[in-house]
Amino acid sequence: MMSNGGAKGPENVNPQVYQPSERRVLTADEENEDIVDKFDCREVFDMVRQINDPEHPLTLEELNVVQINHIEVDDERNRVVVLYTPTIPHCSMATLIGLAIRVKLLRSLPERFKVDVRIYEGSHVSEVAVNKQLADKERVAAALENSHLLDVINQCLAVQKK
Amino acid sequence: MAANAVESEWKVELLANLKNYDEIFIAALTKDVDAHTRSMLQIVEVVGPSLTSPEVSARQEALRVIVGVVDSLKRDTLEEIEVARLTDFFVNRLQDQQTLFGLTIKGLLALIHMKHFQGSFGVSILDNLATDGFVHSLTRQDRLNVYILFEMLVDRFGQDLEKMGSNLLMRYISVMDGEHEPRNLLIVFRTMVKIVSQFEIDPITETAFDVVACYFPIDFTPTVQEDVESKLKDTLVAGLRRCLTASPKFAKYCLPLILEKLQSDSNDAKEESILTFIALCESGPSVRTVVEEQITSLWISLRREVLTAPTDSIEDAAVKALTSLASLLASGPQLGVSSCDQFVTTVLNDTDQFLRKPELQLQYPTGKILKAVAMSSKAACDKIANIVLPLNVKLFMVQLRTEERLALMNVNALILQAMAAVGGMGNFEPDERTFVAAFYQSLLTETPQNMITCMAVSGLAEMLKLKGFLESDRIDQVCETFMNGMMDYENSGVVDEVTRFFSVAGRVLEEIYIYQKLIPRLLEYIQNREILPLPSRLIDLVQALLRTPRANRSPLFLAKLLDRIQFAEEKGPYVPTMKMYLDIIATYVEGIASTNEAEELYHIVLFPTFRKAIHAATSKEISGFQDIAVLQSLSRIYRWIISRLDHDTFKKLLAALDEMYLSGDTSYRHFTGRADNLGDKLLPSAFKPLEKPYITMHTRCISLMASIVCAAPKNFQFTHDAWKAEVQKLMETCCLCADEQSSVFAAQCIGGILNRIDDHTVLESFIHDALDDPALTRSRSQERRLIRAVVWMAKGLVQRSQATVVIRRLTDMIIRHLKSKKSGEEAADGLRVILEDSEFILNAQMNAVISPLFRQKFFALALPLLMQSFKNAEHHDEAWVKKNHLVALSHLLKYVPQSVAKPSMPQVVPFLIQSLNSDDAELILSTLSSIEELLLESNPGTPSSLETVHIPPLVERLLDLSLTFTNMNVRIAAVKILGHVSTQCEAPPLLPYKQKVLKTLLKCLDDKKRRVREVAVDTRNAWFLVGASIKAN
Amino acid sequence: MSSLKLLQDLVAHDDRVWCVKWNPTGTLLASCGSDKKIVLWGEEEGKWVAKVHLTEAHERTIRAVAWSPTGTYLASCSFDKTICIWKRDDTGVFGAIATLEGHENEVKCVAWSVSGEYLASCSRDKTVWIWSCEYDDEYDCLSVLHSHSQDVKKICWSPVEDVLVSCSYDNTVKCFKDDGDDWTCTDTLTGHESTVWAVAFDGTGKRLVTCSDDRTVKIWQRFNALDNSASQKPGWHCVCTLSGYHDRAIFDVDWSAIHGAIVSTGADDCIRIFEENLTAQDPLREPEFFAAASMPRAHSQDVNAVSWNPVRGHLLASCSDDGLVKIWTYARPE
Repeated sequence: MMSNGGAKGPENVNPQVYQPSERRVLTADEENEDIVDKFDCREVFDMVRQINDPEHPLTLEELNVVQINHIEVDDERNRVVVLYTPTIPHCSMATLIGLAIRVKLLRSLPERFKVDVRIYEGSHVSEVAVNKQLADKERVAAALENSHLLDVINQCLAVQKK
Repeated sequence: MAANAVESEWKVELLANLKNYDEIFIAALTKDVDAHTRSMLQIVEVVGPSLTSPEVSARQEALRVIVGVVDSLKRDTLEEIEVARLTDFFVNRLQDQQTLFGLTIKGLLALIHMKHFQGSFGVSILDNLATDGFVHSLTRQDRLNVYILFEMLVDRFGQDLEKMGSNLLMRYISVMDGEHEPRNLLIVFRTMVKIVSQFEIDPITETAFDVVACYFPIDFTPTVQEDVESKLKDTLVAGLRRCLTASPKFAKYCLPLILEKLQSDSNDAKEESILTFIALCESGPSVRTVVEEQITSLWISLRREVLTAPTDSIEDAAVKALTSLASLLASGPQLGVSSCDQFVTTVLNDTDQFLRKPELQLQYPTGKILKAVAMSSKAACDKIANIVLPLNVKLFMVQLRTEERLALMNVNALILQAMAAVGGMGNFEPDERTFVAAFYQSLLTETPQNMITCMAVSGLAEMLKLKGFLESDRIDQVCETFMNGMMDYENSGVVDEVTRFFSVAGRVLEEIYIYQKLIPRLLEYIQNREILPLPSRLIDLVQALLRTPRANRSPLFLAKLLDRIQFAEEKGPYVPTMKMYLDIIATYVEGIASTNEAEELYHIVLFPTFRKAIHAATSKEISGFQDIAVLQSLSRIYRWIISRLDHDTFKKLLAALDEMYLSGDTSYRHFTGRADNLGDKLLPSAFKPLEKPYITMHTRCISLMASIVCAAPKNFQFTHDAWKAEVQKLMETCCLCADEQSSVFAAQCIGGILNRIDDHTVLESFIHDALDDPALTRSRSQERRLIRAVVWMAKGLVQRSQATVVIRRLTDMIIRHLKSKKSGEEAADGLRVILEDSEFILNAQMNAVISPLFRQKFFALALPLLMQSFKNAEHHDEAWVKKNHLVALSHLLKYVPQSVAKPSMPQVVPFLIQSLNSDDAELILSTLSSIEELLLESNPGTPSSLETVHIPPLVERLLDLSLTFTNMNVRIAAVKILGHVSTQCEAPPLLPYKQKVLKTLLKCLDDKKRRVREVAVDTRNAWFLVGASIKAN
Repeated sequence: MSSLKLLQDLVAHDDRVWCVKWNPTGTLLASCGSDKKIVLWGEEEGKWVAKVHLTEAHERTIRAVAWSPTGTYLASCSFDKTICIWKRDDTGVFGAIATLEGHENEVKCVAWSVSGEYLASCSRDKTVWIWSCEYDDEYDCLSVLHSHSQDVKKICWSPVEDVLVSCSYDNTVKCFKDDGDDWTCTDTLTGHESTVWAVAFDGTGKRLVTCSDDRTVKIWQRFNALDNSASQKPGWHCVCTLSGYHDRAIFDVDWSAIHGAIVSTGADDCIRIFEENLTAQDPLREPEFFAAASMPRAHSQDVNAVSWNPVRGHLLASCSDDGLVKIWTYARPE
């Protein structure tokens, strides 16, 4: 029950931590029942920013892995593109993080949206391979039927109350 | 012969009982020994042969009987010699078979309790106790007993044990080393602390430390139950921390351990190391030398933790550790330059670059470091402030980027806070001080105003708190700048900061300055801007100054305010202006500190304005005092004055009110003690607020009476019979007057009076007259108004939780009227009125009698009545009957703690779910919030009051509301509660709904309102985790 | 004027539908998906209805189904690594008769050879397996082909000979043939720039159509040494690339043996039909195809598969992430 010494640590031991954004400010339009609020970058950003990093006790926002200006949303054409930036270019968790983002969006966006999750260009050594894998819906579907992997993803998506 | 026969019979019985241990037999035996009809030694003698039997089981049986008896004896039964013999006996047993060890220890524990147990026996026990490694093979409970034995001996016979020297510690270590049960460790650590701190530990100090250190850091995950029950892990961690720092002699071993674990990857280890270091520092000057040797490594490690801040709690701990470190260095006798001073120099040198190099983005954490060190002593604080404050100002001037400038000001703010915390400005170079203050002042006039201005204002406020930092001229100038600029500031942040500055000013500046200079100056500004648009920001400043009541404040300026009110009345009347000034007066009277002050204000404020109000009510001329808003401002002022008044003055006032309101006598004799020749005769018409034909202008003045009556001074009682007539009149007016608001005032007034009647007989006769007097038949036909009066009567009585019979009668009346078309809504709302904290009257500030558990008691009384009525109404065709009941229920639930409502929930929940079928958004929202509380009150994983059978209809209904209800707040609440359901309820009953919920929520993700979508995202994600192996925490 | 019209929505699946396949006589349509069941649809009084639900054979998503040439057997493959063989008894009832295990990861496709002698399967484990089908319903593995470097997405047999083609995440298409000793890879077709999701033969076995994540459809033709088309060496060559039609990944293609129209579909929710321009045919020139019809929002989400009815050539079935199977009627250009 008692033991000394620590487990194997994360690759990037001391990541730079960024300040999380404030809550979105409520507008009068949002309070108005008759106005349709369009999906925008901030809304999608809010869906992914609180995802936990698989290695650090930090969110993807705090690690600057997701940034609001790397998100595109087109409500009319039903398109969402999220580009993410792994903390280091050889981060072995890049695919897992991408998968967590994809799953979170799968669970959070209406079905009408076509979603692309890709690595921000030039920020990872295996960019092409990771992107291809994340775009392969069959692999993503199979991954989500793997209970171990699903646990890890759920862990990333579990809400942390700070 | 006969005696012998008895004796031998006893022996046979005793021996027979060895096999079948019998509690009753042991109890009888114990009783004999306690009564000295038998002795312990006799018993030992009889079972003696068994004790030497080659069979372990036989020895065990004999021992069990002896221990059983000893354990049950009274403390003083055994003589010293017997205790000594028994101790020897048990000590000898210690060498016996291991299976007997536990029993033996239990016997010894019983002996140690004995009155005649001697310390020397304890030494002999300990000398014989420890054989290495032996204890480990015992059961958990037996090991625990061994530790308790040590603890008891240490606690009771510390002096005797001292002669054992470090042997005691050695014995203890050999016993506890290797213990790993968390619950045992609690005792192990506790006893270790006692031994290490009270006894000789050399030469095995290092060994002892190592034994303890190998538990560091505590790494175990308690079960949920352990966690909830006892905070086991936290207690263990704290226990170990105390062990590691139990002796100053541990310091030289402890410090390397701390430094090592600070390098660890584990955040737990880091945090615990820092906390241990803090504890170490707290052991005082004796550890200073050891710490001084490691100062460099410590500084580097702690600094790193603040700068990188892996978690908030590590950062907090590291900051605190820096303060402890610097305090330790400053403690005790110092030779030459204090090591604290050296340390501060190092800190300043090392952090200098962080302040100068904005690209490092380390200014803010650096500020935290500096603040932490500065908090350690006044000397440290002075040194840091002298260097850093001016430095940052200079850096500010060359640093042009706003972000970096803000960071620098933030650092200064932290240092100013530290200065305030260590008790003032200390020894700060006057030139530097002027330089810094002047610079901050200069920032005020820069345009445009922005974050920098805000920081400058808040910085000045911090300086204001440090006496002598700002020269009085500068304070003048700064205040003048603020008053001048207040109406023009465009940045609301600046407005807020300036207001905060004035709150500080109101707290720290001299009264003369505040009341005779600042406030009159502000009033001048206000007067010049009196007419619309209203200078609300300037009013806020006055309020900020007044908010902290000061001992020697001066009411002189109130006269000026009353003048302005009169001026506004005559020139207009300008009601908003009048109200504005009245609100300032209200803030002032809220700070009344004594009955004298209350009386003074009674004469200055209450009496003149009251007279004006009555005059205005009876006049045909238009007056600001006729306005309901002005009357309410007056009421607010009166309540505060009256509630602090002494009984005598109040009684006179009551008599005056009685004469005025009931008899129309407006001579003001009782107000001033003499008949006022300006009284009645000059009134334009007779004042008859409680008489037909109920002129609205008159009846509204009931608000003034209500505020006075309901604010009666503490412990005041209404006993006078005249008030019975008053209550009757009020009752009539409440039911029959033309004006709705006046009717409410009358009802409130009745509630206030009833709340202050102790005597049951008086009370019952009041109620009887109000409700049953045939003269009031006409009033009672006004059903809705009648219920209103009943509700306020009930409120007055329910709050004091007396006269249950009367309360029951009133409650019953209210609930019966839920079925009335005319008064049902009033009755349903009445439960809210009864239970909610009323903002103005019948609250503790207004001296109302309030029983601490009145809501619970009322709930217990009303719920069954309501449920019964509900059941009767179940087949009622009219939807509104049900709705009234549901509204009443939701009010009832809203105001009691869940723990109180919980037992009733099984019968209530179905009704709650039913009320979700309503189409009334308000009702649904209130019901949803009841359900929400119900869910959130229960801990995750533990059964909530929501039973499994309720889940299907609830989930179905929530889904329906989430998807289709037109009011978005209902959709938001429904989706949110669905989320709580997923986290607060057990998974199995939810699983059948998982797919359906996910599918329905998919549609909510595309709701046209973003706020609905946002909660839908959270809720849907939470439902994905239902039944998954991890839960959202 | 050609046209594509919706005939009927078929509702029976609770989740994403991955695959639809007509039986050889065109009377039954099999569909399967993430809800781990197979539904067989038949026509009753002009309406297609769910006649049979086959369940409990697989623990995870059923990725694809395949009919044997006689229509007696149905094979299904799943993310649970297994293949299940279903047999129709005399009363027309289907029952599971065998489970084939061996793949290390998700099995993505199964296909029966035209002779009925062989069954092929492919998987994320990068292999293609050839199984022999004996009369006594015994299935033995004949060969494990390791030619692909990444997961193999789909396989398909030639309609005229025992030649198998496969397409993969490694962007290639490969052909396999029994050279008398073992099955070997005879050709590798390169040209796609990303995952090749599907491959299908035309009625003659001389042409192939493929579609890819690179948003193109390619037509390939096999040239023999004897063929006169001078410019081409013997073997498979890409003769036509259709790009600019789908703006997201293309998941499936099918080539009607009856009338020669190609249907394609994918992540843009759209179904498109291409016809060959036969009027301007010049044997020396590469064939030309034109877009004959399109249905932009055929489904509300990704369309995963399309299948031409092998007998009633105007019928087309599709299935999608939206959980629906749809039947369309296609009227060819005049």
